[in-house]
Amino acid sequence: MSIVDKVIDRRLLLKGFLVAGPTLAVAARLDLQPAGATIPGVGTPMYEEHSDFMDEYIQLSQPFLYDLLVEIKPDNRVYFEIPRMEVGQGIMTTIATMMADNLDVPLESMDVALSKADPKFQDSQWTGASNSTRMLWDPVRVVAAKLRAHLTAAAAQQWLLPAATLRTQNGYVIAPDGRKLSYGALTAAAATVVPTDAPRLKKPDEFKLIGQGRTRANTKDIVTGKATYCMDLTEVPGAKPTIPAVWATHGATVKSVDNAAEVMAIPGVIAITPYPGYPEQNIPGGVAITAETFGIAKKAKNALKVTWSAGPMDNLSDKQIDDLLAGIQDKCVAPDLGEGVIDANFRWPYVSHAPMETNTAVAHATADKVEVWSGPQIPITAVRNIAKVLGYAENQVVIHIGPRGGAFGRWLFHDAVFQSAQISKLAGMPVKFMLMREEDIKSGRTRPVSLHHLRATIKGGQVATFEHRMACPEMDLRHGLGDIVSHQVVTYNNNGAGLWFFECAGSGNVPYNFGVKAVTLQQHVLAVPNGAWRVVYSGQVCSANEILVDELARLLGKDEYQFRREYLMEDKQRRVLDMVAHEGQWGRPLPAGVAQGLGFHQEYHSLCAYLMEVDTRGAEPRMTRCTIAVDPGFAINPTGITSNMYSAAHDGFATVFKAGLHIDNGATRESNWNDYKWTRMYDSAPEMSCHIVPNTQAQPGGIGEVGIPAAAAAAANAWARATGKKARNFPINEYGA
Amino acid sequence: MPTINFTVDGKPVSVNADNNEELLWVLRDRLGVNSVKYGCGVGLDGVCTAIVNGQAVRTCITPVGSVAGGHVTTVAGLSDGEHLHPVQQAWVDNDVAQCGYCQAGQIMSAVALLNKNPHPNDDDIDKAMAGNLCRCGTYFRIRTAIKQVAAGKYAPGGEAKPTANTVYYAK
Repeated sequence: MSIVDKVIDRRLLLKGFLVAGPTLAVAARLDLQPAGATIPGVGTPMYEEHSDFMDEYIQLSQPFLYDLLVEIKPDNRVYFEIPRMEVGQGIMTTIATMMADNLDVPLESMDVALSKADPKFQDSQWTGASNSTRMLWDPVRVVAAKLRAHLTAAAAQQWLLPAATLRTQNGYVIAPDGRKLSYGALTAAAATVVPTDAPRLKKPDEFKLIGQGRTRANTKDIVTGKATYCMDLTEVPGAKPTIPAVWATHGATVKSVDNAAEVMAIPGVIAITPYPGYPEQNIPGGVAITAETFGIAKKAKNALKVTWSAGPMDNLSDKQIDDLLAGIQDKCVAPDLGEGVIDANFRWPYVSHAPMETNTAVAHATADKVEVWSGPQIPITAVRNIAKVLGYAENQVVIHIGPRGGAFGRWLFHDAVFQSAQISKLAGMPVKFMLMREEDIKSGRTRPVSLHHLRATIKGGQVATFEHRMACPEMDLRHGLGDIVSHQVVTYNNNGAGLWFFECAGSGNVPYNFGVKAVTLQQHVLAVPNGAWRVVYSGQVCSANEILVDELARLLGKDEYQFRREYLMEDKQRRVLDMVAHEGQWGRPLPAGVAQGLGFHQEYHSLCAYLMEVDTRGAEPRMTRCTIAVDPGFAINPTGITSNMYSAAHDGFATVFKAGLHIDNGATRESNWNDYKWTRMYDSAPEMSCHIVPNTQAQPGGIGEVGIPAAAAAAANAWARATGKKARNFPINEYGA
Repeated sequence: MPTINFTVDGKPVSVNADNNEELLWVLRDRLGVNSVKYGCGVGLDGVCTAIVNGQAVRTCITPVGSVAGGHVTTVAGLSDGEHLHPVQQAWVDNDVAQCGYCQAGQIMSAVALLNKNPHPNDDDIDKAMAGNLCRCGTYFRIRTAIKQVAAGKYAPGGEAKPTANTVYYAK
């Protein structure tokens, strides 16, 4: 059952022809008048079970999703703007492939760009929660079908043939006798023709590009140094390197700059600009230094003396934060039923997103316009906040979007977009703004620290109860969650939105038949800037659950794989588990100190299982082999899916063994890769493989995040099986257990 | 400020800079060479790696004065127009890059490794690539690509398969 079939029953109309001259440049919109026939087969399925919050948003966003800009150029190239961010997850490739296949053009004829922040998309222009491919699947198919209908109608008119006798292939409309007209030759006529035949969606068995593995679109640019990241832009010639000095402790503000004249005298220093940030959304202020080069700016920053106010959490360090969280944490309540109880307390530390490209933005603010080049994951929120706080109308704020060097959730908030615009306005000059790594880690957003109390009890030889009580600093979701309603809700009740997200995304779902199940969250506001971090809440919750699953299996004297098989609730879950156990040779003999570990996770309508082997005999644990099985629902680019699953293996490994921030009297202790550690080549497995289940759905699930809880659990479980210890306090390399 | 002469990707350059200025910022901010990237500024993640006189160096901690009269090669200098270096070709064919930001440095470290040791084993790769961090977790494909180059799978001068063209920042 599909939303279009069942709920909306509207006709899809094409509007906005001729937006770019005499070519077929389409912007399809859902006509809000209930009328006419729907296009069969389109629409987000309404899931009876496991409905996640993205299902709801895809439905809420329907009016805004179809307005895609696609232009057929006279030279037969296709220009396509994707209203999303590319951060390495590969969506430009995936979604371009979807468009090329559905439009019947070669992939190499496409020019793919990311849309500027555009109010026509409202809040649906957001990249997060693994939504991009899922949300755009139907709109791309529909828009492509409409375009083909117009091109075919134009050719039919020219040849005086019925449109139904024509077909499309490789950028051409083809007549029964073999005559061909290129899309480019037809584009002018197609822009004005009114097709009489309904658009016909391609069926899955007609796909030629979808389902084939392919390398990412800009990989050649990347390997030849031509890929353009934000700081490589030359669009604003006068924009000079600008970096911030940031607060001494979280939430502190600038009281005075004490040696501005001295620092200004350093050759090459151009400006020193204190800026307030946007404290209401925890976007830090600081002192910006503009110089001829970033190297000079860094020297100036090191010489700069700033007096900061006290911050709101100067009396808090890790210990006090943990006590505070323990104080609000719900208690486990299940009684001992007499046959065994496991109680386990887990702690995950603060971690930084730390993308390789730090926060960067180029900004040029003038009296009546502000333009920013950057890559926020939710640009409409940046537009609104810049307009509101810096005194512009929303249509005076232009945000250009290009691919970024990683995000992992860091760009859900638009910190550098806002800061660069504010600094440019205050300094009266364009700026090329970048956080150096130290400031990126010290003032940047984080996945917040969390405590987890789990309890499971046994009765009748079975798991009878399963409780999970999480407490963490309140997750900052004020960037919005994809629609205007939730945006308002999040603004006024951020905690409530977090609880709802927690419940509706992966965290609330324990996929095992464990009798009575309860998963709850309590949050408390703290000043350390935080935000969603790749796989939200469930990164901590479901990893801890999977560690307990292993321990329950051992308590009941069962094999960890067989135990999961027995308690998982659905065949499709067992399918990925069986696949990973088979491909990864579960139970194969390994030397003492080396062991296998399993982890399972499902979220955003994808499922996966990891089988990781960890060698604990060296100075630090090493991932020696990693086998992955994944059910992505419907695979569009298996090579890209594999990239995301490999990526998750390394993130999971890092959070279990290596990464953690500390808070000392309100300040983040770590500042660079010497003390903020991440997975490196020598941690990574020389043997990896990813096995993809044949399509199980008619549409793709989300794939960018689902791997992490399973990978983290597999890493921790392998370590526990190799050492006989219990994984509780992360990162293990610091705490030893 | 002294005038410092060296070559970048085969082209002679001349720059007025303090001898102690970091090569990374001289390349990017004074010479407009954007094929080296900033990652950490202290030689910890290898993002800024280039090859100077045959050695892989972290340009963020290399004083520009030390390369006077020398030859700097960035990832942009490996290829010859459309024709790729075997390491670049291996990177393309294995779809190594994800966000791509660290890959210029990864490739230069791999090239330096293979120049010194044409047949590295896993330990050699672990050691040579230890200083290059990747947040996307592309290590397995990097390792695979290095091994394939070592096995002679790629001749110089290959070309990448055609695919969609990426437009950076829509106009």
